[in-house]
Amino acid sequence: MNNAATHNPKNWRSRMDDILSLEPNDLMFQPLTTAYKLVTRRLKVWPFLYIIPLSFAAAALLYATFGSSVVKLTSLLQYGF
Amino acid sequence: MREIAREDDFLQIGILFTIILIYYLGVNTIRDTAWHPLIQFLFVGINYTGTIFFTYIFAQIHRTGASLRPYFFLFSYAMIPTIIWFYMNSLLYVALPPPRNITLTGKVFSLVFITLSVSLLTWKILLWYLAVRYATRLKFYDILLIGVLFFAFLLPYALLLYNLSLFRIPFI
Repeated sequence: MNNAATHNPKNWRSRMDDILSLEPNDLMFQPLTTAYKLVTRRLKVWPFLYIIPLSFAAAALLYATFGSSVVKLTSLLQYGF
Repeated sequence: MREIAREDDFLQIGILFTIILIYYLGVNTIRDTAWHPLIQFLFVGINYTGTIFFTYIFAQIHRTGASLRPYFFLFSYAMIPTIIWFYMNSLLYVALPPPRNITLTGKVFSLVFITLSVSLLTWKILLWYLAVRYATRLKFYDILLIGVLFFAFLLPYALLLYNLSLFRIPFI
């Protein structure tokens, strides 16, 4: 938040309302909760920075596992609309 | 999604559904479908309202998420990855019609297509999770339970729609 936002009580109140509008998630097991917060912190800012490389890795893993059957899967998906 | 939950301009939902209607009217010119595009569009509406009421009923059992209005906005915006995938797929059907061959270009295209599809699916799951979170105000494990139950209902419903030749992949 920039200085104008922090010094304006209305903006600050609205920001606090946003933060407190939902109860924070608790996964009931501290390492899981920490992992959840770590992942969501990244995804809140610029999710596609992580989604696209992970998706490519998943596609590459599919290809490594199933080989050329991946091409048949693509044909199947292309008929899927 | 937090801001979207506070929206009250229903024109936005109207615009999204108009885009979907244009898609179904357009795809009818690319490929023969067993059903009239308006009937397919009607089933998109049924899928949409079914998803909303399924989630709403679950929230009511937990006595959270009283207002129905955020559901309509959140779940309509959660359809954006679906809209993108269907449009992309129909454009590729015209530009690069299937089936794909087991050549280098076929394999490269398959990798790119699956990467895009998985990205859109991940985005869809994230938006769905946020839609349920902001609409119902439930926590992670309850949302996970909704997801599992929803999938348990969705799978036979999707098979039914496939057997009726309405959708090969359901538009949700």
